[in-house]
Amino acid sequence: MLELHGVSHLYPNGTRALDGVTLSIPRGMYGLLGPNGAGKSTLMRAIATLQTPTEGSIRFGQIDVIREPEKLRRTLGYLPQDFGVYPRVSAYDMLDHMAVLKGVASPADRKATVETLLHQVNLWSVRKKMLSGFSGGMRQRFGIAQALIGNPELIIVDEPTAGLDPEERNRFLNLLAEIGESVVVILSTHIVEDVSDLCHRMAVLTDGRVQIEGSPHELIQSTRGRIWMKVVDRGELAHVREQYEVLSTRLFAGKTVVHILSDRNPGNGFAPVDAGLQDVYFSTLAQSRRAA
Amino acid sequence: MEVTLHPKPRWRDVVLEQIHIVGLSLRPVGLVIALVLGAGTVVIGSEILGGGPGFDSRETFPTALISFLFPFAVWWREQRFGPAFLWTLPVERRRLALARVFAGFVWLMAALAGFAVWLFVLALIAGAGPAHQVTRIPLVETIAAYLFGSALLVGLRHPLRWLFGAAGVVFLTGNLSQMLERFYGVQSLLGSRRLYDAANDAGDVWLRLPPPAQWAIATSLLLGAGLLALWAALSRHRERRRL
Repeated sequence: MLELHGVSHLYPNGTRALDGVTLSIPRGMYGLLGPNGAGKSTLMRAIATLQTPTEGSIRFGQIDVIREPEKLRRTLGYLPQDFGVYPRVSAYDMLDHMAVLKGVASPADRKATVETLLHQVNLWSVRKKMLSGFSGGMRQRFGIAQALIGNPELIIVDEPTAGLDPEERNRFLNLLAEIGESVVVILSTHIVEDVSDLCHRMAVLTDGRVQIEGSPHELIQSTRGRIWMKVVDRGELAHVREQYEVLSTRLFAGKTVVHILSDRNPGNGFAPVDAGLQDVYFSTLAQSRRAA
Repeated sequence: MEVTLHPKPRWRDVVLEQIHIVGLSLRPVGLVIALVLGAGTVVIGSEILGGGPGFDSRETFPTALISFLFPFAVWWREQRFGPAFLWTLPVERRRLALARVFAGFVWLMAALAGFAVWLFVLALIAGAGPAHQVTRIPLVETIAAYLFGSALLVGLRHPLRWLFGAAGVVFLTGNLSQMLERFYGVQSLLGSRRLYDAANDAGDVWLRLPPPAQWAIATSLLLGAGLLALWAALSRHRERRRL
């Protein structure tokens, strides 16, 4: 279990990137949703021991992450948002290099580890290709392979599907689903579908604060009966925005499908709709903007 | 919840692996060096075939300048500061940086050895005293320059700015002292004339072997200063944690 208590981070320029984040993250896939600038990457870096938060505590099992970061690194797999190392080295050599730095001392063990991982992420056929020649999807798969070296018990994956085409995204998510059963995997993303497809529990982070936390199913249930839908002409949209709390709009066949949040039946042609995680996410963002 | 921790990597494995990975990264640099030596072979060979000496004992080898700039190739595209991904690995940050500096040093010595062999063979063919030619390679300065260059890369976030800034200061100071000398005779005060004379004398000195004691002192001072600069630079990468 990963426990965060009152984690805050204030940058020297006065930006408060995290504000009292408290979470308990069990084994399995955990989604951290939030818009750009919400503090997700700062939180991921704090957990991954790249940054020391200015306040709060982080514990992973018996490890105090802030006081003993080197211990956490011995069981951590990290795939950052911007993963770019040694472009002139082949995938095989780079994985072998990482395996040494992660303490896989025996050459035979390293060979077995690297070969297994390359097969697992479907990069065996390009193992001798330079990393600079990899596509975005191949880089991400390589990234997850290096994160898995040494069978880590805590895996942090930061915005892994950004920039991937649908096929690559699907392949990547399937890979994550395989590994996310018995270890703690934190998936930090602004793509709602990634969380809804994979995660048992999730939190939404905005302006450095946790707004809601729970299982996707529980959170969707909490908005039951409060999401309403109507198809309007584009010219009507401004009027709808003035009158109601619009969560999302989507173009469909030349008209606009509007989802709004309302505790009571708004009438005016609005129909109740089964909420999805996207509605939960947008309603949380709307509420946090109002509170700010 | 009990967490299983993997063993930390052995320091020897880390160093060997850094030598391996730095070597792989330096392949384009090796190619450039090979091309330059190839071109040099053609030029010197043509001169020898044309009846010329091929070698001029007044020539100096810019190995110190190259080794000062060599760390830029060793650390190319490596994120030295900030939340770099490699710092999530269970290797202490300062030691990993030191291992990389050492890896670069190993490849620098390999390149220098290759250069020495090339020089020896060409001088042998030209009949230009191969052993003497090889001893003209400034080994201590080359090593010291590499240490200072590494300290620059490892210790500063923006080493190129400092480098260009320092070059600019030296250039301006040189021009300023010349101007002042013309009008106010300050050049001697600034010591540049004495340095110039010393350099001329040094040119004569290096045609002979220096006195051993003087050489030992100069070597110790130069290498000591380089190691001190490197140690100070590496101190920027020590783990900082809130207790």
